[in-house]
Amino acid sequence: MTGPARSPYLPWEAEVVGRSQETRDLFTLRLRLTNRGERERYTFAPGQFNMLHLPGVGGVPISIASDPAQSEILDHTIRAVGRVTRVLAELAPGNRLGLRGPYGRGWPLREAQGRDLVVITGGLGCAPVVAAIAYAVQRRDRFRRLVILQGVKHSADMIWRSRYDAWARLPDTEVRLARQGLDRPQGSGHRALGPGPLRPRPGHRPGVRARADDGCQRAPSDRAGRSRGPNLAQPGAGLPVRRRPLRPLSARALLRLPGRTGLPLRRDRLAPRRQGVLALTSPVTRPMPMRPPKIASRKPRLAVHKFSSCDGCQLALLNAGENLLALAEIVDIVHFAEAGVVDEEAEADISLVEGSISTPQEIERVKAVRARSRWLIPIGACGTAGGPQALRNLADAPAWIAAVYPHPEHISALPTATAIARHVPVDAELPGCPVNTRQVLAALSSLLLGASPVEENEKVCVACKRKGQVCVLVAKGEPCLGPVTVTGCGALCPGLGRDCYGCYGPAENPNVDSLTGWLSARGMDTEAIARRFQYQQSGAPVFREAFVQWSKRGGHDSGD
Amino acid sequence: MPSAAGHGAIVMKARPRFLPREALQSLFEALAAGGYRCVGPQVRDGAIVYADLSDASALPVGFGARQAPGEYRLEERGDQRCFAWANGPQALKPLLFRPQEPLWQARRGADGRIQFESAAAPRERRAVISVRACDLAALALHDKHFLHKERDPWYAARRADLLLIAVDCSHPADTCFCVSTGDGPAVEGETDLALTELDRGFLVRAYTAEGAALRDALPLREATPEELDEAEAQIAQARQSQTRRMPDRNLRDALFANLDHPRWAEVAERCLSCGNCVAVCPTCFCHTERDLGALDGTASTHLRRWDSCFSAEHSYLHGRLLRPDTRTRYRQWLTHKLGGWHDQYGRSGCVGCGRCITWCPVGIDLTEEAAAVCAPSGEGPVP
Repeated sequence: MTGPARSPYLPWEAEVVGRSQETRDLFTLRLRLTNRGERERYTFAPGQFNMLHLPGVGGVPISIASDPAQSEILDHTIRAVGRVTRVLAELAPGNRLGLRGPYGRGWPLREAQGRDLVVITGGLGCAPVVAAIAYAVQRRDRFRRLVILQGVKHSADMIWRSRYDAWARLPDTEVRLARQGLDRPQGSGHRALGPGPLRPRPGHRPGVRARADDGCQRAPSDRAGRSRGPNLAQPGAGLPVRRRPLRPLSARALLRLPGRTGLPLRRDRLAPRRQGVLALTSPVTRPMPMRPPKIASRKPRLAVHKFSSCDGCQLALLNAGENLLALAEIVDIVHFAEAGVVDEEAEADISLVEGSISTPQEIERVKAVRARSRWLIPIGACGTAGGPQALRNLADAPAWIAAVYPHPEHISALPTATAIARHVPVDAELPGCPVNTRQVLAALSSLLLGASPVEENEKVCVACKRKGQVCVLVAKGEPCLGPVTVTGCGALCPGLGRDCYGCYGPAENPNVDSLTGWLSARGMDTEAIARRFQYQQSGAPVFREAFVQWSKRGGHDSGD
Repeated sequence: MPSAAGHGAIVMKARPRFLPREALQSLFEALAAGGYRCVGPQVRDGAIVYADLSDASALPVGFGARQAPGEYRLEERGDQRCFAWANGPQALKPLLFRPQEPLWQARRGADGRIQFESAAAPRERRAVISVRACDLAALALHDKHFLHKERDPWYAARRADLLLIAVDCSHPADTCFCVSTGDGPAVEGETDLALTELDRGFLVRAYTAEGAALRDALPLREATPEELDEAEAQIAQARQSQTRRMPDRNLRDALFANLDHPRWAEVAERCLSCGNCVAVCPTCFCHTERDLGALDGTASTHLRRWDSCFSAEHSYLHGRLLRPDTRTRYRQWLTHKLGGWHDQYGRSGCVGCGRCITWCPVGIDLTEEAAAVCAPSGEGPVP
């Protein structure tokens, strides 16, 4: 580092000094900066967050949930939901990670002084505001009425019951807890959220009973301090509660308090979501319920299996040079025929699978590989989309076999060549024809650190522009598929002055119709457009659809 | 610090002097003598790009560029002009805000402790030749973004070492609209040295001490009144040649009042969500980060790289995409650039360079989209 100032991007080392499991997938990490001077300097405002970094894996922004008055100990309540937070969930006291912050503006609590304070949160959104509530509670005389509203989808997500309980007992403080929809069935191991009452303050006038249909529940605060009572489906079960329905607290008034993000209030933030939310994980990949391999007692085992393919993807690993030697030090390569290690029956922590499924025998074999693998990762166009041989899916394969071979009865082939994920669940996919060494090593390095591989889903254009390459479509009129193709190759072809032909397959959110319409309007032949989608990735549904559509327009027989 | 432009005061009033065309190489020699690595425009792969350049003959002499939505073509002009073209895909942005660069390395010892070490900030005196007014405006915006309270060490180091040699834009492209955003085509400061290219040579104006030192090393003579008139007429012509315009310099309220406008869905039918507009935009600054780890887990490099609000990852939060479709992504881009920037940086994020129009693979024109979204209901886009 040159210059006097420390880079604002550089994390400090932090140590996990405590960990608690809040619910099945929510946990709290208690962190402490290891540098004493920095620990003493560090302060934060309620509502701020830290970046937590796991070197080699990635970083995530996580709210600070602890008391700002004790800033040497920083609690972060996290849901294990993505590739970084799943690894964070594995940390134990004594483990180290990187921390930088605090960031964000914090809540404008000073401005709220002398006024009512209403805190509304949903789900894990309660984490950033518990610090704000603690702040207000410690300075209770500076605020008028304190209202805390927390909603969750399932009662299992209702964490920090004892805190809500304690707050509910404070003077002039109201706590309301709500959950959406029905809880998980009995026996799921989660406690139903009961409509526990607020403890009425002395002199408080009993109000209406909780209505079964308002979805609003009161903090459990029976004398034993435990949740109790039936679920809301039993109307009238609640004890007398405060007469303060949710309605008078209008969304506009409420948003004024926490909505200080600098963004204008948007109508669509308040309206129910009209469109579904797209998960990043593609539908063919398993949503990773299982954890990546974490093996303490022995080396992780790696297998490389081959199905219908050309072996080119295996070369990505075989040509890794020194990195292959380094890899062999770290893992036991139990099966890798191209490298001369053959034990197809071996159990493996990570199985890279090249090739498509194109024979009945391969269906059985891939199921066996699945059963023997903790992580199964198809690599290459064949494994992820069927490969060039998936062109048979567009034709009448049995008729071709009959036409070509004198004794077709000797040929045992499926009428289609399909991706591995069509036959067994897979844990991640590495596309490409072929995959490259950098891509495979990055995936392995991530897995060996206990994290799922980064799912790259940008378009080729993004990588192309980062490399400073001139767009061959705009500057030369080449029919480049970069705008609809997923990155991973490093925009290889445009860098050599030629158009991308889509060998990594469709990117996330591709707009093939617009691109092909543009090419067609500028004089590209319909048949030529159809052919663009007939290379290695014709098995990918988006490209297959484009091929079929443009074949029809050109009067082209899709079975040709 | 060779250059004070952008974050220092303009130290002197510019008074043009004249550099004969055949003496242009003296500028490169003066830069080399000053220890500058020189970056400038040149023809490569069918476009005018900025790269290392040490010789005047490597400039795009006699080249022009025809630009239209989704199309860029070089043209031979048949004259000796070096700067008779509007901007290509990039200029300053990749030089200061690198498309990809390491921020820090981490090493994990056998005891599990982690050491973080910042990537060193580069120190190299660089001079960029032929910076246009739109890019100077974009640079001022990036200065605001990267040199705020917590200065970005890498941007700051490169910025401090940068010498700017601007050129008045004499030949705007059909996609340009800097007149309507108030950012061009004439250079009016915020640079060390400025050139106006005329048929027989260049008017040279210095705005900073560094620029003046460079100017004084050149074989200049007094500019004639005719030459000053020619320069003025040329800029007037450049202004008049622009037909595209942004509907208004501040569209903030109009955009945010039209978040449900049907035009967003309509443009999403055409938009490829490919991020080309963001990548070529001289003001877009979003980045994402990646960790490149060694196989044995003992070391890793933390990279920053350009991101775009058209990528899925940009709106990934807690297992979900906040902007799952192109409609919401395009809307995010336009409302932030033309709306939200007013709150953040006191002006629009658009400097009228037109790159996003030219380099959009399907020719989407943001001025047209902004006009359509902001037009009173029932009216079409402003022609």
